[in-house]
Amino acid sequence: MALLSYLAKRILTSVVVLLGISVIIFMTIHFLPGGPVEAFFSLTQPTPEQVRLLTEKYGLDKPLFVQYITWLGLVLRGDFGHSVYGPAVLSLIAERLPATLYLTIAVMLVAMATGIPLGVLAAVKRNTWIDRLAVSISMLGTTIPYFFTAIVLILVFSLYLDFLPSSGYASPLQNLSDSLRHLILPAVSIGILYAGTISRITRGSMIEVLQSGHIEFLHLKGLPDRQAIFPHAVKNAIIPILTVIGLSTGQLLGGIVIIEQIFQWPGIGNLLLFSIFRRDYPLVQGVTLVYALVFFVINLVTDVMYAFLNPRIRYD
Amino acid sequence: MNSGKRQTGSRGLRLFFHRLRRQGVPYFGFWMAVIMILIGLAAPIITPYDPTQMVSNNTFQPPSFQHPFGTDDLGRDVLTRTIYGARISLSVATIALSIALILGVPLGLISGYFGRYVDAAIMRFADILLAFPDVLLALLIIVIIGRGATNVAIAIGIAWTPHYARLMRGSVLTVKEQEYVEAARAIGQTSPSILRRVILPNSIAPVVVMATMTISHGILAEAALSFLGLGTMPPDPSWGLMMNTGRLFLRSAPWIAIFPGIFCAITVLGLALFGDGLNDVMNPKLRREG
Repeated sequence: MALLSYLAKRILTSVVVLLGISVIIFMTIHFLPGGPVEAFFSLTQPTPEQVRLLTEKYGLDKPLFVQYITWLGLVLRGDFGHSVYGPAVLSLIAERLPATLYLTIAVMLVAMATGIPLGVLAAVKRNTWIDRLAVSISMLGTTIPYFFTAIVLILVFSLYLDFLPSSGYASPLQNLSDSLRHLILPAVSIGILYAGTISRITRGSMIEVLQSGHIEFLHLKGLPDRQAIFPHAVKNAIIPILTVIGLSTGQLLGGIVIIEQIFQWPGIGNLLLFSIFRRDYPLVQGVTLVYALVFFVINLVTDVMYAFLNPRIRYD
Repeated sequence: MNSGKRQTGSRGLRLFFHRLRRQGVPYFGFWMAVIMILIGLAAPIITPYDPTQMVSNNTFQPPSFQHPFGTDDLGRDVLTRTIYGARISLSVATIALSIALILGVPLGLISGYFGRYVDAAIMRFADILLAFPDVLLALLIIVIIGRGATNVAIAIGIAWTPHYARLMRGSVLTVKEQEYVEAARAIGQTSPSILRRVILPNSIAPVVVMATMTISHGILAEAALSFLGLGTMPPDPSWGLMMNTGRLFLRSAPWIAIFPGIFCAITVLGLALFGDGLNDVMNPKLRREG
């Protein structure tokens, strides 16, 4: 029951936050010098007819609140408006979203596959040179700028060793091996950053579990180290790790903008930058909205998952 | 948590440094960061070159005795630009941090102390801003206020504000239940005076720790936004901007991108190590959990 009411409350506050997000994104166009008309026609001088149509569609002659409701109604029906270059914003986003999701999943896989074992190893070998080495590696991972990591990786693996492509994208549905070759460098450059974060949390969480009576009891029962650690200890340490993974997936969306730019990856991060530079404000608005929504959903899922997994959580 | 802070003046500072030194690595990080800051400040003394002056017959020179980090596509000395870059990175990060503190601390203070509707309103607004990834929020602000180093500082500062407001609020919630606050109220002090003289000094410690930890993020954010071409404008030197330019000549002149990257990484690492150590010094309980 407590869980249900927690979820209900969480979803209710989520709706408030979502509305707030939409207000901020709606307002960006109004904050621009020149206002919405200028924003929608940043390229060309609009004809009076075009201005009239725009005013009618978005209710631009009505009070701001009415304009917001009109805009929200259109957005909820999937009408994100048109790019100043013509195509519908939503179709441009839909075209680019799969590439971004593909990269995001790859990054998280890289981060988990290196971060979790590194953290577990550091915790098990606590206060030895292995621990210190692992902690130093994760510290380097979180502090070296990921765009610098990307540059170094390109320099070594593409330009010197000529082993992997330095940029570009290939769809995994058409040519899987070529697609993976293009995926490795972008995924690793930013994956290292999150591997560092995940390994630090894993280490802390594992140390706590290993010191708990539960694992000591397994030791006393005569269970050898390996069986006590895998799966018992890892299973108990997983909740904070999953939370961090969820939260970092959200933050990752920001970092991916830069990685997509460096590797010419045709995702929505690249689209966002493109729209900012071209002053394509309807597109900026649409992409930001989608970004914020994805971020919001990931955080919500993380929260709810945390509530389900952790029976000790206080629902308040 | 308050033991270090209660000590006043130089004695407190000495105790703080004593503890920091005992931590080893963070102390090293502290000096790494200090050296980078000094290099930035002393830039005109260290290098004879101008960071923005182009020399057309001197482009793409590899590292040599005259130009230890080589020269870039416009013939400018990369070492000079890298150490002048430290100035921009550190000032943008500092301005961003100041904005976040100036806005976030009072908001958190008011929110935590007055509670109820004030608290609800401020915290829901913070929730909304926190519902954007930091980089995205900063990008959105730049779209509105325009590009450039100062605007990047403002954008990062605003993006950080809700984090500080929330942290300050949490700290105030604990402090305001303390007996000395009750005592201040009993002797007839007004709310503004209690907030300023009693609550603020006693609840600021976690904010100070977070500030040292996030200053390195500020440097990263400035570099990232300049890398995207939205921050520091050419010809001013910024590490992010230099890395982005260098990326185009990676095969023929890798030094253009590599050296600013290394400087940026060292500064961020130093500050992060120091921030971590400071966290441990101020919260001895955390030390064991690593």
